Amino acid sequence: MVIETQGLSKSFKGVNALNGLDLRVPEHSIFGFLGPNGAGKSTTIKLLLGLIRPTAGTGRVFGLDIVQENVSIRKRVGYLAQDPRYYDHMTARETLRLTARFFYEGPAGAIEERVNETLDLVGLREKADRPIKGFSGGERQRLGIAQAQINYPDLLILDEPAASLDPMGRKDVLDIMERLRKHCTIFYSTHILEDVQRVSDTVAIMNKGQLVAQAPIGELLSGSGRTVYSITVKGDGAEARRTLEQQPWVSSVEATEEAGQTAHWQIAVTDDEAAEARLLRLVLSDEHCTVTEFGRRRYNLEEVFLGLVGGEQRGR
Amino acid sequence: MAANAVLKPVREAGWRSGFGNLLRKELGLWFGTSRWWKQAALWTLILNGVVVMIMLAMRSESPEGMPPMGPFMVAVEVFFKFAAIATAVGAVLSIQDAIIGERQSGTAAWILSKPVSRPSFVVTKFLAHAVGMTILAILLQTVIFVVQTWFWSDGSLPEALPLLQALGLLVMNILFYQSLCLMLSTFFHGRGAVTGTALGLLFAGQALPNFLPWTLKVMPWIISDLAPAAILKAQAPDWSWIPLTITALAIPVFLGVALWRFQREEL
Repeated sequence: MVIETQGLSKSFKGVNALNGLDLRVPEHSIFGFLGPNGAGKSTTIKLLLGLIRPTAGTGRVFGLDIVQENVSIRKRVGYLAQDPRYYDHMTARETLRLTARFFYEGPAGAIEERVNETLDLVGLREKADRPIKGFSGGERQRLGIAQAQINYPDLLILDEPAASLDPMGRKDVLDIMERLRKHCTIFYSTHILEDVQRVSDTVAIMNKGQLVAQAPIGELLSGSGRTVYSITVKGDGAEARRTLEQQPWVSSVEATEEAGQTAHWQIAVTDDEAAEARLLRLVLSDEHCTVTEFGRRRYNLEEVFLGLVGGEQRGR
Repeated sequence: MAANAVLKPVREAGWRSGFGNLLRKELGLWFGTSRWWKQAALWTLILNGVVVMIMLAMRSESPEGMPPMGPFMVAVEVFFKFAAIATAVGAVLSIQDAIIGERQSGTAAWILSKPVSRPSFVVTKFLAHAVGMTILAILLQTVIFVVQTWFWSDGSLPEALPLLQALGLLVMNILFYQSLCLMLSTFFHGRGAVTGTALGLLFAGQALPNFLPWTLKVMPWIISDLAPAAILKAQAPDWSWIPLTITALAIPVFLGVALWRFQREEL
């Protein structure tokens, strides 16, 4: 594990921002850290970097303690803040040169070569000698990624890397993340679910300072704890539906009718094996209807997310 | 990629992590930009300008010329008394924003997300401001002062050792106010509180000893009298070692408190 926390908690003036977080981030994963605003994502990241101190619990990054050994942790980490701030009077090149010298020592020419290589990676070579003051949001974000990975980090921590970007900027950032994934573990927070579904392999969902789910994305999308099959039938399916409802391994059948005698059923089951072996056969054996579509229901991340945190958010 | 074979990981560890790079950056803000000549010109105008004006005024009142020791004594009195107060004000104004500004802008959080220790962050700010003020507001101005004193007093020059003593006192004075401001910056989040407290303490020295004479024995205010006295070989009060010792001890204490407090700062 690259990151491991146990009961990690943080409160600000008596208000719990993070409550007993148990997180495990495997090596070489792109780990999406999801949650609505105020869920505790940025607080967790700051705790991992030693920028703030936990109220309770422990955390380890590369096996190093986040309170006692955070300087050593930061030697192997690249970090992009949610709203990255740099010295506005400096150029992108000067900013990267300053950053590089926190990690490396050696001839100025070699540092410069490393800086140029990083500028090329994020496509900022042309603007390298302009003051950051005049940079657009997208350019700042690219500079942020450049400074975060100038040390070839083993762990890249990105806090909302695409939040303030237009669709093109977002695509650029996700492309860069995909390019970097073979070199390091990427732990990033976001509330853009589409991005998570595109690039992440493991996901944790936070809400109100608590971890509400953590799993590989495939597992999360296949149905959070229950299996649901989706069937579309044409004709009179009433008898087939009654038969299904009588099966002990079927917990519910939700039906939506469409015009032209077509119906969609969402069948929740409690026994995967029984469902795989018998569900489709039972429906097909009914001569009054025909099956036009059949499959195991796959959720999209938005449904999973809203299922876990949406009700509470709407209720606010 | 060839460059990466040549580059070695930095060797600084523990509290020194990031120290060299940060010190280079902080000194660069003083000497790598136009700031150095602007500061040099400003301090020349303020400190040596005052001496020029007073010397010209003295000369116009005494058209036959000034007695040889008169202008020398006046120049020393004016320059060192005024420098003790003016450089302390300058030290406060230049450093009051050093930590608060970076905390508010978010650059402190950025820098400290790199392998940089918090002591390095605080100490390099102190050192760079101390070096910047010492060179531009004290050493350079004293050189210019010595040259103009020679001119006004027809060849009189301060002796080397008393001059060094006076310079030492001026440097200690600014270090006191700089370390005080750094310490206050780690407690307060507003510039006003830091500047107000430090300048309030500085200017209290102009009036408070009239009501509470003992305060002169525990505060650095006597430095503005001791610095010219050192050059003019005037008698200093026999208790003057007390405020000087307290001032000298206060500097590491203020820095220690600043480091302790900043270690707990949430960024």
